[in-house]
Amino acid sequence: MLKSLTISNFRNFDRIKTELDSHVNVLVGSNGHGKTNFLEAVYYLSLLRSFRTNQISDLRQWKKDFFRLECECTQSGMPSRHLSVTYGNERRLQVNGTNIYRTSDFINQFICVTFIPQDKDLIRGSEVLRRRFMDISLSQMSTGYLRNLQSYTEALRARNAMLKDRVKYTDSTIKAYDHVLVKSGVAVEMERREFMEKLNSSLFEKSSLLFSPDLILSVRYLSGIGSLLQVSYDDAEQMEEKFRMALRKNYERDCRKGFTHCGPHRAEMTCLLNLHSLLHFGSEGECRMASLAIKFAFLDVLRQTLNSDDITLLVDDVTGELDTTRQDNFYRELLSGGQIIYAGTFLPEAFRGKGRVFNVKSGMIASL
Amino acid sequence: MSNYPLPLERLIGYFSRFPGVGKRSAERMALSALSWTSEELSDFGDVLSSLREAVKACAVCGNICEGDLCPVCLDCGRNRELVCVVEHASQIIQFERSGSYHGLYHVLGGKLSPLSGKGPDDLRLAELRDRLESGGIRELILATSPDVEGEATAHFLAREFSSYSVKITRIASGVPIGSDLSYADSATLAIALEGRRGLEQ
Repeated sequence: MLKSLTISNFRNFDRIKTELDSHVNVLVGSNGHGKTNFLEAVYYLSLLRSFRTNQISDLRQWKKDFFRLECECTQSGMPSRHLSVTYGNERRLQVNGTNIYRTSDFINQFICVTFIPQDKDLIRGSEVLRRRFMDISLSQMSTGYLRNLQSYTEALRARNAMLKDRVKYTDSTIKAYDHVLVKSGVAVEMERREFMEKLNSSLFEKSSLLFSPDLILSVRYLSGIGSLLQVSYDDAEQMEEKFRMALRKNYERDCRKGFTHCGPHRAEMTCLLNLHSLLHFGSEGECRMASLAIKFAFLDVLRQTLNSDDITLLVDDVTGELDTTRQDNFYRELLSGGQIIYAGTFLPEAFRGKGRVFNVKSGMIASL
Repeated sequence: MSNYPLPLERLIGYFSRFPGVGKRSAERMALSALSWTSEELSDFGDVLSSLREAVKACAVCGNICEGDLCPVCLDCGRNRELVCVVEHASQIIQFERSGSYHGLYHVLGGKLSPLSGKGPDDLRLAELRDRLESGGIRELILATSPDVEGEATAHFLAREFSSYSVKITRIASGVPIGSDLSYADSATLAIALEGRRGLEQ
């Protein structure tokens, strides 16, 4: 949970300092005044990434040398911590005034889940976005996942670099990387499969909030190492063997094309409504609702895994396409626990009389 | 005056090439050298100018040494059946300080690192092969770093030399001795658990 936030030179904010309510915070303002920037700042402190850009230097205010974000946060009743990020020529991270050098030691000091317009891309957008959803979600739940993913990515990049230079690197050098690739890759696959399983069991309940009960929403994980239908979920050895076989089978093609064709980096997650893929058949509204249902199901899984309700929900006006009943369901579900930071053009009825309301205007923020 | 006299600037330039030395420290070092006597300075110069000839790589293992062969290779009390493969000569000192290893070494000169363009040809593999072929070695201990590239290098070496009748082993990874487990990082603990061993009962 976030207790306070100080933003300097970030997007359209010069310098603002805000104390936040432990439950409901509503940011009200017209378009383009900085509501989403506020959510982005919170998200960056939690995960050191943005949900809008990969170019972090873009987050600096125009013509400024650096941006700085600071917050006071707690997680599940632990003593509060002071986090700060200063992003100038290089990024400097501090927790309680002590420098932190590894990203993995800084992120997830408080846990964030977003409900933002871009969520819709989870259904319709590129597969990269769905893998990113799985990866970020899992790294919030398991430190081992992030570690394995980093090893996998490093081994994969090394392997691809070798595949592009077959004069310098022989078969045996390339195959030397297979061991790390297979070990970390299978660990990634196993956690993803388990996550999809859990997501599905929550999705069944959450989708009825937004869809009619006779419509069944589900997700399916398509492994990047070929069909794993006959492989049981907890059999790492069998999966490793499958992956090794897939690498062997694709080796010729990998060499010809200069990159690795199989592995968790090629996995895909498809969303099905009554067993039809929404990627090709979903309407605008269906995709919006499906993405919200998946986010709520993820929140559910996250709460169970962390065994805690202490999660900060960043909500950026996503109810536009929902009818009133569904909007009511949406707000009720949001209010079921955790801290909410909601950004919108007006104060929703469901939040009236709860927590704090802030007015955001041209990069300034005032508590009402 | 925004710059030091040219000779001093050049010295600062050289000092700041050392690892861990920033601009400010380099300035302090150079200014302090100004207070040295002429004898000290000329001796310092001699040490530097003869460094390349005075310190060489051991013709057998690649360790840094004064003569053609390093003290480890010359030491007839060492177990010549054991060879520990390390990335850099500087790591030999660490093994020696542990006092528990009495075999020989082989310096690879790095690890496989395709992302920085380092391949098998950039490692001292031919020298290692020569040593294996001349016989007498029973065990090759692979002591490359326990990171992605180091692991891959170890697997590469294991395969590369599998045709020789030599036992190939990998150093263990785990929790540092004498440390409190409460402060161990989770990655190391996970590996330590994987590599657990039975105790005699």
